[in-house]
Formats: sequence, structure tokens, C-alpha cells
Amino acid sequence: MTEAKSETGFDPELYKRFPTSGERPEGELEKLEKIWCGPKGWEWITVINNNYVGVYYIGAAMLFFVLAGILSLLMRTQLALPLNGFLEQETYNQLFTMHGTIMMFLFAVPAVEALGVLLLPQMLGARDLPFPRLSAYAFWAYLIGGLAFFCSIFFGLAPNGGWFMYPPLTSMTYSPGINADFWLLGIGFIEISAIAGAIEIIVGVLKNRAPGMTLDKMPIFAWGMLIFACMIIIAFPSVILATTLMELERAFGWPFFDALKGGDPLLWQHLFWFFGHPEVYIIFLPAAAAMSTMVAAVARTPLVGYRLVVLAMIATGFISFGVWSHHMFTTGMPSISIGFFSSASMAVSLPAGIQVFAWIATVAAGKMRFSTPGLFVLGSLTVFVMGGLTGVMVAMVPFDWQAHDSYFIVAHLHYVLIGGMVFPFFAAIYFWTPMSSSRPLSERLGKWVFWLMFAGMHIAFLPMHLTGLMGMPRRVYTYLPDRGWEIPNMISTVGAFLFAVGVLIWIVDMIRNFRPFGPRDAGNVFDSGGLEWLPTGLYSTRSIPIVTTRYPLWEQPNLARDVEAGRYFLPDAPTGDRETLVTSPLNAEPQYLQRIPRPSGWHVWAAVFTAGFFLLLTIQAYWASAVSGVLAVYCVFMWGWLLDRPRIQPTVDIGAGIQVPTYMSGPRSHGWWAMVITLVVAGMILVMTAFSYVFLWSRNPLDWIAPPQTGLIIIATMYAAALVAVRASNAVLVADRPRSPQLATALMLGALALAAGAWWIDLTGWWATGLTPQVSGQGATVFYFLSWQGFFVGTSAIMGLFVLLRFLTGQVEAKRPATFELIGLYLAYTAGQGLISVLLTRLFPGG
Amino acid sequence: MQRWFYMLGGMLVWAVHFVGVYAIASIGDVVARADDPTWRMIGLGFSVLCVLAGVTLFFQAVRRGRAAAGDEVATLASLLATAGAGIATIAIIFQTLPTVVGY
Repeated sequence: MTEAKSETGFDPELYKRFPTSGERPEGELEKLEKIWCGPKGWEWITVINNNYVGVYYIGAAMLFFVLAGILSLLMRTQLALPLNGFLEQETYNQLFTMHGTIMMFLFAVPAVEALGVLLLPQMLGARDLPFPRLSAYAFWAYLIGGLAFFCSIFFGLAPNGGWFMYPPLTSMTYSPGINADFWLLGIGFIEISAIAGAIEIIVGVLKNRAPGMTLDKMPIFAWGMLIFACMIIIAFPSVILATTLMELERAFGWPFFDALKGGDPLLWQHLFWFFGHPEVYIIFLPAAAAMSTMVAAVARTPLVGYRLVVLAMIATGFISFGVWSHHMFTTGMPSISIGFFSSASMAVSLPAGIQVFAWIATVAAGKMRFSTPGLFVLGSLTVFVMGGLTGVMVAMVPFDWQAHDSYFIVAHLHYVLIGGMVFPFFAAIYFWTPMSSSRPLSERLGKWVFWLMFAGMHIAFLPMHLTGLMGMPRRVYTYLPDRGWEIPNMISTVGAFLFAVGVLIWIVDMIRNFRPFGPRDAGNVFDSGGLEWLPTGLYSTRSIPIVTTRYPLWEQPNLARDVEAGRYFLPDAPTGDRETLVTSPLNAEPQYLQRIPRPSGWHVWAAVFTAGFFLLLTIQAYWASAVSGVLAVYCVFMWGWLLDRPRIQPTVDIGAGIQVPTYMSGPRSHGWWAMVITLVVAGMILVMTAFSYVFLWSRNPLDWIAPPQTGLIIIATMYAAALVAVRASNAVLVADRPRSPQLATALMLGALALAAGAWWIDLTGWWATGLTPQVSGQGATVFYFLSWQGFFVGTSAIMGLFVLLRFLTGQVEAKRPATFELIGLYLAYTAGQGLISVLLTRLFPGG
Repeated sequence: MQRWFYMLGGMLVWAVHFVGVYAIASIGDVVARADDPTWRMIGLGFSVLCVLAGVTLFFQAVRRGRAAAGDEVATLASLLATAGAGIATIAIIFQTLPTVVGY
């Protein structure tokens, strides 16, 4: 392969200094081990190292998989016989809602995210991901929120409106209890945790790769995780918005989905499925990328068509956002619009097909080993292709009209999800457990697990195609005899239990594997070519290698030996702290040394109180919820206070005399990337709110009133002035004059005051028109815009306080501008968002 | 970011096309009917523009791909840009069919 041209001015010739020669100084390894030491006592909770958090995360995801699986067994028992009385109708409704919700929100997405947190640092040759506390926060928020959500079932409070919670069934009129609120607040909260994980993964993959690991040499799994995380950033804001709107309707009567008051239940379906269908690919792509990694290892040959597979994943990511309405073919949309979605739904099978053919070609080109991961890989291929074929069937509108809401769809979605995610995930567990626990899982038990799950899966779901075609609808708790549904239902139940036996054996195998005694020396069991199979400690690899091929362990001789001997980058800890190398996004050229924080309790407490805020809100304990929210903000405040520490030394030697800075701000820094991605999330919520606004207008254009006739120019001017003030404050700080900190802080606070003032004038202007949020769809969306902007003004005010405190403690300085710049970015976004909102709501449709 | 836009150019054109034809049909549905001939022709015109954009990107990427020999990241970028623009153009043509037939 040829070299890439330099991206940052770094001289690639410097790579020739590695591997270095000679012995490393004594005590270097011990120093690394001491800095990256494992947890003791309370530290098992506050630990942030990916080796621990990743395992916790996967363990929690599998716990939810088992819990949701138990619910499915209860449902299958109920459906085994007609007119069965095993479950009551209401309980059954709660069970199928919880089963779908847990599998999609608490198992599938967190599981693949967990796989990324566990594997990516080692795969990329990083010491850890760039924001380990964010990963840990995401995990604890997910675990606490998920368990509380699951426990609602023991009190009869579990949601019961199906995993997609369509209104008007889930409106206050038809679902008056707090069951639906548990879903709305619980899921909204858990999605925040998923977004936090996605930010970590995007920045990690783009900025923490080993030197030389250009985009063309990036592990295919990292590509999959990158696309997965980008899709989360685009898709998940939609469900966060949808759940917020629904909760506002239920709690305060804002009629977003109430057709009598200018709302529209179809708005929910658009918002939900804009998230819900990409969700399928969101969980499929990382699993497919793991497949592409494993298939090469078990077939003992490089993946065929690496670049085409990358393209296929990117294309899948894009096209999957154009298929959401294929869940709405029966809602009466115009047929021309249905045609666009139908054609996109068929088109998305093409990139998926490229990946499938690449796997088949790799298996054909290599020498397949039928180990447990190999079996799961082949099983996944078979099951996924079958699910994909029925997917093309339901992409055709006339067929979809027949199969819609029948058991045919249940069969289709389980084939796709089990073939596209569950089997690859089990393959991944069998493949990478030896890396994580240093012990392989049992091959003998593993084969039992595979064959029971494979057989059970087909026995359970293949007959459902028939029951569906014979007319059995989804989500019914029982059925009448003599309709021909008894035998296929009984067979499905037997299959489900067979599948469960397979999972049970797997649990036994996992307990056996993670026992606290016995030898731990598995090594590279499957002879894989990725960096994650280098010898590692809690600090990841002893030194960070230079990567020159896609399969470094296969094609770079003596790599493991030289890495272990500390002959590559960062063989020690030059700042005496936890640290990792930050590289450029395209060519992975060394840029600077990032100091990684040590564990502290703030992120755990932040997760506890954030969960408390949402859960207490659900049970309508408003004061307690508010207290919990304030405490959560305080914890995040303290967490942020510990960041952006003073520089120890301007540059350090990262090996072979190469010097890099220890501090970075602006677009080259990891913090800047994370803030920009966070703001993309906010921007997506704004875009989807704008869609909701225009959509509701299009339903009842004649009922909309004119906006306030005055104030537009002054509000727009104030927001524009806030933008200018933010820009000026950053420029003043970087100028590094004697009074720069005072002036920069004053400008930043001035920008905040301008944005807050503009928001207040806008709000009072709308109140003066007599429009209220409860009165119509227009009122609801306009006041949602205002509330969303108010939320940003509020958080900007907290950040303003943060800036002020940093100034008062002498921490606003030109040498350390990162925090100041990031707050400036946030404030600039707030002003920009306010400007867009005010222009849209006052000029469209006008009056 | 320039390199990323180049790599993803075809797919971005596809996304713009998808949003565009959906929006045009939806506006048509509010103003007249979604399959009203005038709005269909507007949609068709928009699709033709997007196809032209896709084809232009395709040939540009082919040309840059030839010039990128020797730089592996540029080669990958050009391959992604070329194949992405190709797939996007085919997908756009495919998605234009409902405007012409089957509405």
C-alpha cells in the first residue's frame, strides 16, 4: 500500500524512528500500572476505565435481554393455546410493550454501544476513549433508568400502548394512568445516555487512532461504530422530541397530537419512525461491522471488498433515513409520497446485499473454521438474508397493506433483528470474551448454544409468517379456536422455549468464564489480525504502535513483541497522569497528548440525580424531582470544574524524541468536536420541531392566527448582537492583553444577557396575542419553540455562572481557552437557534 | 470537512433529493393534490437537477481518483465519492419513477 500525504504537517518520515532500539528505563511499566491501577472498594462504582465500564455495560445489556426474553416466554405461553387464561389482557398488553421497548431501547442499542466502549480503545490503539467519565455516566444513567423502568411492571404501572406508543391510544383520554408516562420519560432519559455514548464513540474513532491508522486502514468495526454513532446523533433527537411533546400533551394539555385542537396523531408517527426505522440499521451496522471483522478471522483471510463494505455501510446509513414512512403505508398518505418511501425501502437492500456478498466471498476465499463464532456468523447470514427478503416484500405497498399489523410482520422483524443483531452479538461475545476475560468460552457449550438458538429461532418465527398470512393480527392476547392458528402458535411457543434453553446454557458458560479463580492466559484464540489482540493491561497496550496495514498482527512482523517492549509511542506517562495520544481524523498523525481524568464520584452522582429527576417526575413528585434536578446540575458543574486543568509543561516527548503539545483548544481539540456534535443533536431537535410546526400548519392552515406584529427586528438584532459578542469575547481572550480576561468575561456575559433578553421579548410578544399553548396546534408548537429556547437560555445562564466563577478564581486565561471557547460555541448556538426560531414562527405562515 | 463532503457528496445529493421530492409532494398536497401535474413536473425538474448533480460528482470523482494515485486516503476518498455518486444517481432515478409512473 502507498502512503498518505500529510494532513497536519507532521513528517511521516518520523515513523521510521520506530520501533526504537535499546532497553526502556526501569520502573516505566510499574509507573503505568500504578497510574492505570484497578479499582478497590467504592472505586468499583466510580471506575471509568473502558475495560471495566465496557464489561458492566455489556453485562447490563444482556441482563435486559434476558429479562425481555422472559417476558416473551410468558407471552408465548399465553398464545400456545386458544382462549388461554394464563395472562390477563391488561398484563399481556404491558408484557408486549415492555418486551419490545426493552429489546429495542435497553438491549439492542446499549449492547452495541457497550461493545464499542469495550473494544474500540484496544482496536484503535488508544489508552482509553477521550471522555471515559461520559461513558461511565451514560452507563449508570442507563442502568438506573432501565432498572427503574423495568420495575414498573411489578406494580402494574408498566406502559401498555405498544413499543411505538401511538396516540390517541396513549393520550390522556385513553391511557389515564401513569403507565404511558413511565415510557415517555424513561425512554427520553435513556436516549440521552445513548447520545452521550455516541459522542464518545465519534470523537474516539476520529481522534484517538494509533498513528498511521489512516481511514483506509481503520478496522471495519470502527467504521461501523462511527456510522452507528453518527446515525444516533441524527435519529435519536427525533424520539426525544416526540416523547417530550407527548408528555407535554399528557401533563399540560398542549395538543400536538389532538386532531380536535389542530394537532395530528400522524405527527407522532412521523417523529417516531424517523427515529424508529433508522434504529434498525443503527443496531444492524455495528453488528454487521463486527461480522466483517469476525468473518475475516474465522475464514483466516482479509475481508473481501473492504472499501465497498465501507461504502455500503455509509449508503445504508443515509438511505435508512428515507424509509421511515414505510411503517405508515396504511395511514392514507398520498400515493406519490408512498412511492418515494417504497422505492427507498427497496433501495436500502442493495448496500445490505453488498455486505452479505462480501461475507460470502470472504468465507469462500478463506478457510472457514466452524468454531462457535464461525457458526454464529454463518447462522446470522442465513437468518438475516431471510429477514431481508421478507423486508423487500413488505416494502411493496400492496403486499404491505395485506401484511400490515399481522404476525407476518412479527416474523419479519424478528428475523431481521435476530439475524442482524442478536446472532452477530453472540458471535462477538464468543469471539472477544477471551480478549476481555483472558479465558475462552467453552466451545462444546457454545455449539449447544448456537444450535439451540438457531433451531429455536426458526421453529419460533418461521410459522409466524403463516399465522400472519392466515390473518392473525399482532398484539392480541388470545384467539378463537378453529381458525387454523393453533398448531403454528404451539410450534412457535416450543421454538421460543428451545431458544431460551440455548440462552440459559450461555448464561452458565458466562458464569463459568468470569469465575474469580483459575488460569487466565487465553491469548489470541482465533488468530485475529486486529490490534485488540495485542498483549494489554489496564493501560491498554504497553506502547502505542504505528499501524501500516489493515491487519497489523498478520502483516506487521514482531509488532506484539515491540509494542510490549515499549518501542513505540507513549511507552511511559510523561505528564505522570492518565493520558492518550490524539491524532488527526484522516491520516491519524500525532497532534497532541490528551490528559485523561482519573475516577471521581461526580459522574455517578450526576447519573443518580438525573435518573431521580426523571423518575420522580413520572410519579408526579414535582418538588422532589426539582431538588434532584438541581443536584444533578450541581454534580455536572463539579464534574466540569475538574476539567481544563493547568498545563504541566507545554510539550512532551511521546517517544523517539517526537514532541507534541499537552494542551489543545479550537477545532483540533477533542472537546471542540464533542461540543459541536452535542450542538448537532440540539440542531436536529430544532429541525424536527420546525418539521412539526410546518406539518401541523399544513393540516389546518386556515385556523392559524397571525404572529405578533412588532418586535421581530429588535429580537433578531439582539440575537445577532449576541453572536457578535461571543465572537468578540473569544478574540479578546486569545489576544492575551492584561485586561483580556475581564473584557472577555464581560463580553460573554453580555452575549448571554442579549440572548436572554431577546427570548423574553419574543415570549411576551406571543403572550400578548392571546395565543396559549393549550388552545391549538399552533400554540403548542410556538410555545414549544419558546420553551426549547428557554431551556438553552437557562443552561447558558448556568454556563455564564461557570465562566464568572472561573474568572473570579483566575482560570480565564489565554493559555487555557478551551472551556471558554466551548461555552462560547454553546452560547453562539443558542443565539443562532433563537434567531431561526423567531424568523420561522413570525414569518411562516405570516399573517 | 472538505474531504468528508467530497467523500459523502453523492449520498448528500441523494438525501437532498429525497427531502426535496417529499417536500414538493407534501406542499402540492396542501396547495392542490400531491399528484397534481404541475407539482409532479416541479418534482421531476428537481429530480433531473439532482441527477445532473450526481453525474457531475461522479465524473469529478473519477478524475480526482486518477490524480490521487500514490495517496491511499485520497484513493479511498475518491472511491467512496465515485461509488457513492454512482449509487446515489441510480437511487435518485429509481426514486423519480413514482413521479412519472405509479402515482
